[in-house]
Amino acid sequence: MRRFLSFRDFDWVLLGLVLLLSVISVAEIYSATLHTKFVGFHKTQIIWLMAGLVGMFGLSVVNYHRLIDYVHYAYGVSILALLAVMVAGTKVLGARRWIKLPGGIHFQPSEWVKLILIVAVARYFTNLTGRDLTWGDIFKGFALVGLPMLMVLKQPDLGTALTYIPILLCGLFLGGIRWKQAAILGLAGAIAVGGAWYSGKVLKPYQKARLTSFVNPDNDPKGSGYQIRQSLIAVGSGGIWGKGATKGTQTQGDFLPIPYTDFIFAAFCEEHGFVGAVAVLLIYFFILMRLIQNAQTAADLSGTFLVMGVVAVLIFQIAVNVGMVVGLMPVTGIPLPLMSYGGSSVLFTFLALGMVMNVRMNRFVN
Amino acid sequence: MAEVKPGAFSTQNKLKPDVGAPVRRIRFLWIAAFLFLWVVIICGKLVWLQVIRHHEWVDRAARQQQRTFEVAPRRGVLYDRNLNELAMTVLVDSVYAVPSEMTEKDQSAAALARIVHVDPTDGFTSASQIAARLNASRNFAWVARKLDAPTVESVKALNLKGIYFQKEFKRFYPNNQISAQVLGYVGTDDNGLGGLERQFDDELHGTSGRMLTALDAKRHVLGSEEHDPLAGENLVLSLDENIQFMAERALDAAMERTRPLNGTVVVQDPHTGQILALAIRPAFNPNDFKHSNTELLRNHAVSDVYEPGSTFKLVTYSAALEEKVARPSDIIDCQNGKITIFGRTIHDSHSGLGRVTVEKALWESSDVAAVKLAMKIGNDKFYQYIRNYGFGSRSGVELPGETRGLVRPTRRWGATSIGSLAMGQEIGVTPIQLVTMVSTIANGGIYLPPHIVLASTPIMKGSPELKPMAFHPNEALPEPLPEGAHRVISTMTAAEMRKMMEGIVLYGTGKTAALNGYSSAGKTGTAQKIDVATHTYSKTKYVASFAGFAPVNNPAISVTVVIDSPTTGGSYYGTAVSGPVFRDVAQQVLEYLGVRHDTELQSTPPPPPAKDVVESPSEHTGDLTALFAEVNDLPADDPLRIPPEPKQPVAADASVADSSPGTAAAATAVAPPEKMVLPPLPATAQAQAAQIFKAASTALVTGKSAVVVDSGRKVSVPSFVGLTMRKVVEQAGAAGLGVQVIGNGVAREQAPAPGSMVPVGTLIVIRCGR
Repeated sequence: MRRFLSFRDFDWVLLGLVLLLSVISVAEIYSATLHTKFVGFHKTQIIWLMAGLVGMFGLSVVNYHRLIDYVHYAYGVSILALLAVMVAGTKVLGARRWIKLPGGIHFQPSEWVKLILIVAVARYFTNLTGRDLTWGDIFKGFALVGLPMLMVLKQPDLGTALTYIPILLCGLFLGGIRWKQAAILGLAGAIAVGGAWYSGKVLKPYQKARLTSFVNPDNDPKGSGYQIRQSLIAVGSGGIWGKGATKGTQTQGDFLPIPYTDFIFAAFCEEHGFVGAVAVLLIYFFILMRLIQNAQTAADLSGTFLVMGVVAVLIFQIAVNVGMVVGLMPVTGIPLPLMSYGGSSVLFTFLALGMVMNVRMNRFVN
Repeated sequence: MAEVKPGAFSTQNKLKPDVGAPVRRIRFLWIAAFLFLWVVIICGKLVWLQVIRHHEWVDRAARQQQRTFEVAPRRGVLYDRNLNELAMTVLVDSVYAVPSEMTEKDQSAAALARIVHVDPTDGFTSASQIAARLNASRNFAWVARKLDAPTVESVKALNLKGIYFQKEFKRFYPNNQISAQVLGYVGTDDNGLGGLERQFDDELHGTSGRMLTALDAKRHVLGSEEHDPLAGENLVLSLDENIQFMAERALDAAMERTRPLNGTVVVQDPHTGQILALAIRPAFNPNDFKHSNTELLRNHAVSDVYEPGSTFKLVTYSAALEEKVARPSDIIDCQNGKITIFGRTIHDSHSGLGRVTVEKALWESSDVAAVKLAMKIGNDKFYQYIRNYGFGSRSGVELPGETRGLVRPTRRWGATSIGSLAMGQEIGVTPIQLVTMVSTIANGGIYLPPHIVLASTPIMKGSPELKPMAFHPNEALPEPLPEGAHRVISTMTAAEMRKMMEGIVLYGTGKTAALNGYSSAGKTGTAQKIDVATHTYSKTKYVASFAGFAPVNNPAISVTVVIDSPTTGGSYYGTAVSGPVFRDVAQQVLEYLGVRHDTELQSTPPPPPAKDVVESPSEHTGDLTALFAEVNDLPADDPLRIPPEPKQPVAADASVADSSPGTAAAATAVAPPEKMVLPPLPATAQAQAAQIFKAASTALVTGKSAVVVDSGRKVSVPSFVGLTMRKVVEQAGAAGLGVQVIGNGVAREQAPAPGSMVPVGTLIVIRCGR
């Protein structure tokens, strides 16, 4: 097989949009941390972005088929890592999510599992393509994603665990699930979620409270609804043109919770208003459409699945985070890709984009 | 492969080569559609939040991010007419705590309470209450408000954590209880709760400032914006602090003498209606209003009605003269003090009179004559006079809680009502109404509505635009007449009334009201109080009153004295109880105002130098130096006995001789207080009258024997010649000298001569003339 990769085929448009969003992100992190003890986080974010770009370019030259070939090893390591977290993880704020590696580095396996799952799901459904999915295929898919998901849920890390679901759903959807099967699955899912909700065993009360308070944050303004309410006040008071960079009273006055990570979009809406918010949403829209286009132009089905896995995770995270900020979704602790501060999020996004780039660069290669 | 058609994927895959159908393109469209739908939904929600409901969210943001603190404005000052502060606002410290910064809350509360809990009846500052407040709030709790400086120092000395001090305004009444009921008082939150403080609360209060503070989520202040408070308006009252003081002193003496329920003295300028003094006893201290009660806060001069009794006969007689049903010289049969009208027999309280002149009937306060005159006037006309004099309506004086009094319309009169009314029964009046009625007679027949506020002004003292409006007796009515003024009786009737009223003092029931050196006129009244329990006239409780004016021919002041239920002093009659109060007040005030004497000054027992002068009234050129030596009791060889320059006899000009025919030297000297100076008073005034001085800070001595002479320090005698009496006293006070004034008017001559060095406290003899 001939290998010829050229950065001429690199998706510069996509990279431009991503970098544009990254610049907006750095500026908003600067503004949001200006009067807090986190001042200077925007510089750290730039370092993470640099690392992410390096990782992206690095991964973009690794043939994605190679990733797919070896994904089962990675999957095995992931399960072991999650097991290690369950046994020997560092407990932070009641959740066991981190493993302390030698040298003082904290490692969070659940973020990397996302990336591995995208590849694993791509590999699984690529092999199934060409025929309608049987219930057996479907349940195997569920097992593939469900195992790490339950382990992450146990940590507990609901937000990250939920991001695994769209990877599977996307695979099923594009893998050729029939509508009837989808309907049955939907119904079963609803029953399962309902049962889990009312059994009281799967979700902890604080998680439940967080999930429901978005419906009416005023019921509990000081408790779980506080974040939603502050977010809505920030967005609403921003108005059409916003209060101006570093002028957001909600953001600067420490009313808005974690305005540099999960609620960065609220901070941005407050300071840059409706106009800024719509601009950012359009950038996201174009990025995602560009990714979908890349998926369609992929050289083979595995490439398509790979890119669409990334799309699924990004759409899910963006939808849930922005939905949360504007009061349409519960608070789940899912960061906004390409905007929120944080190394894990940045590295995941850029590495995922690196795979996408490789798929695109390989579109004419056979 | 040259080209890949969208949707037609190459299925050549290493893992699964060339098998099966491609991914259905339609499913990409579903995903794209979902994405688009999501963007639309989010945008819709953003429009709702940021555009449609934008203002609501802005309000909510402001509500949690901003705190508005009211900044109290400085309350306006109450001035007397000479711009002396009667009520002012000072800055004092209040203590508050930030409980979250405190460590030992209960112990701190106990320690604080030991200092600030001075008054056991004050629940606010008890240890338990302070502790309760400290535990109730994290950020702010008052410990104690408006403390005096030593207490604040003690609190500071505790050096407690989390204790802070805040400047607050506190109302301060420099004269304590002087005119307390008129001024009223203010509560802790600067709200007027009585008197003028209540009546003019809006004006005095001013506009609160606002401090807009931005807060962060942890309640840290991020910044603040201030709108300055607007200080309240100042009020200039028609009261004269000195006249007020004289009235209160005289009333105090009467209270001491007769121990009544309460007493009221009102001094009015008959030519303008302005109230110059309004004294009420018992009084309270507005600086410490917590320890007063509603009874003490009551302004009896406007809020209480009482049956005037005989003073009301002035209405009857003046109406009779005006209606020409009688003339002063007419003979009227007083029927030995007994008259029966419609089956009711009225007895004179005094010894019965026979056939006498109308004039004499008034002098002796004959009930029978009053009844007869009233019946001649007739119900409707008599009622009209009553109303024209202002009875039965609110005078409109700027004091809260004024009552209109009790005057029944004629249709509700009984058959004998006119008889009762003629002698001041079946009617309720206020002291303000009474004094205004007397003023009407005094000023020539014009009813002038009383006033106690001269001006309301935002101008602060010290501004050239705010000028003292010192009271000088008016000789004529204002032109044009103020609103609400109207003629009640003719000038002629008024003049006849004044003459008759003078007779009351000279020959009749009002002899106790006679002044020294001034003519006076007035009417006594002794009304039985209605016993609330039995609804009959009380046999033991009386209201003794006196309403009069002086001098007779051109009255400078009207004075009403009402003493409610005297219990000691031997008499409950107006003559005995209230007459002397009138005399004390009128005498002092006229002297203070520098009103020319219009009758002979009565010589009174020593001081001898006064006698010397009395004995040789025309000898105005007498040796003042000798007089000075005697006044100051100097030894014969004192150098000050020897005139510093050849004596320059001053020719007594005609006016001096005319105006002061029997000038007596006043033997009273006021050792000059630092600030306030009162003119000397003749010794002929009552002894207590001489004791007019303010507060404990001023030293006062009467008579030469008590003159404090600090021989260690000598001062140069200034020149007093040409100055008014008021100025003389002021300047002498400033120099540390006393004065002994002979005559009145402008200073003509002095001893020792200007420039002489005399010990501090020496009495300087001054001869005055017009």
